[in-house]
Amino acid sequence: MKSKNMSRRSFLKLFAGATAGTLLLPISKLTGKQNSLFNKTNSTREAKYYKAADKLAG
Amino acid sequence: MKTSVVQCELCPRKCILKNGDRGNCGVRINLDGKLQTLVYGNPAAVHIDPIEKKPLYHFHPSTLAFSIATAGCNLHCKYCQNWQLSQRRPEETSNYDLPPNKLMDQALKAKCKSIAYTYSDPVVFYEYTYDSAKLAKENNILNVMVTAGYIQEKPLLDLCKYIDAANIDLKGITEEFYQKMSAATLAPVLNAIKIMIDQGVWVELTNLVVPTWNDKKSDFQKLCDWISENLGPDVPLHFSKFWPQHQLKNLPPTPVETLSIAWDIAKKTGLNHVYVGNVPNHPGNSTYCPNDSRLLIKRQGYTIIENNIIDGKCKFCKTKIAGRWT
Repeated sequence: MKSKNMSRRSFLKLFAGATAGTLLLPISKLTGKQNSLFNKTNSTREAKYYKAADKLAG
Repeated sequence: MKTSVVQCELCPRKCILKNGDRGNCGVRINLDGKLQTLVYGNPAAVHIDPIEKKPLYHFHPSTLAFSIATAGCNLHCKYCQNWQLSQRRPEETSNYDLPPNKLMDQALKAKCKSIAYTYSDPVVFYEYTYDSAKLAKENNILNVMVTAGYIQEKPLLDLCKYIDAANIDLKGITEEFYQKMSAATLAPVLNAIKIMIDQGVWVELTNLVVPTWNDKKSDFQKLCDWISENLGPDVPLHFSKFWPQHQLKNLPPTPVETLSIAWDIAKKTGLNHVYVGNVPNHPGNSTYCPNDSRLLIKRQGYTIIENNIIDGKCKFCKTKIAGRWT
């Protein structure tokens, strides 16, 4: 596990150098901890805004 | 024979989907007559950013935003800097398990003032944004959207109840530009900007200046005229430097002179808070008093070096400065 100072230095380097690019890093790169949130198989959930449209099917 | 066709009503595309079809955004699917989102609770990007990176310069400066995004987008901008996320389907990205309650835990643990729904577009992960924003409000965490604003009126009004601030891309000021650059239309975006402001959301606008596409003086003037006439002088406008990306790697970066011209035109049009983004050490990185032009906030990158706004007013002449400062 990285020290707190190392994590902060890494964090400062990351956003100080950013220009147009957006940094897309696993959160573990910032905290130095093993990311236990990673790689979940996506499930589905019903959308809020839609309607049946059988008559539009042609 | 009964079909199971649905029509999505989230964005102006209003995709009509047969069973098994995906929406244009790539993250909604018709499963037996029910439209489902494939990205609820599963962001592909999780990061802690300074709020200035959104960019939001008049909203709780020097605070941190816990920033998330899923795969997918309902626009297809040729210059997208996040195309590896926005132009991908969720099965093509590595995704976190971060439902709203876990997202709150992480944001609180990281001492973030806000959660930002960003990078791709929160419109396409609407349900996740909505539920998370509602929970964030209960936990005194602010909610920020970074969006192209390509959304229907009803879902936007519903979401605005929980959104505190937004940076909205005003990519161009003609329908032709939106069609050619982003395969979208302009009118719904203009409507979304007005709605969010009317609903009390703090709004800042970003215009990415792309050489040969939207970099003429007339483009800047038309854009600024629309803002001035429809929104007033206090909505911050960020002109941002383009860097070659995605499908526009053949173009050069935006010259600094072009951005300076845009900055001047906007100020002469009467807009009070105009910025130049992605150009280090440009005077357009800083905030100035609209009354006496004194330097209010000096920025170096995303870091504030000097702040002369006290209780939301210019320290020198006491003019109220538009924004949400505390």
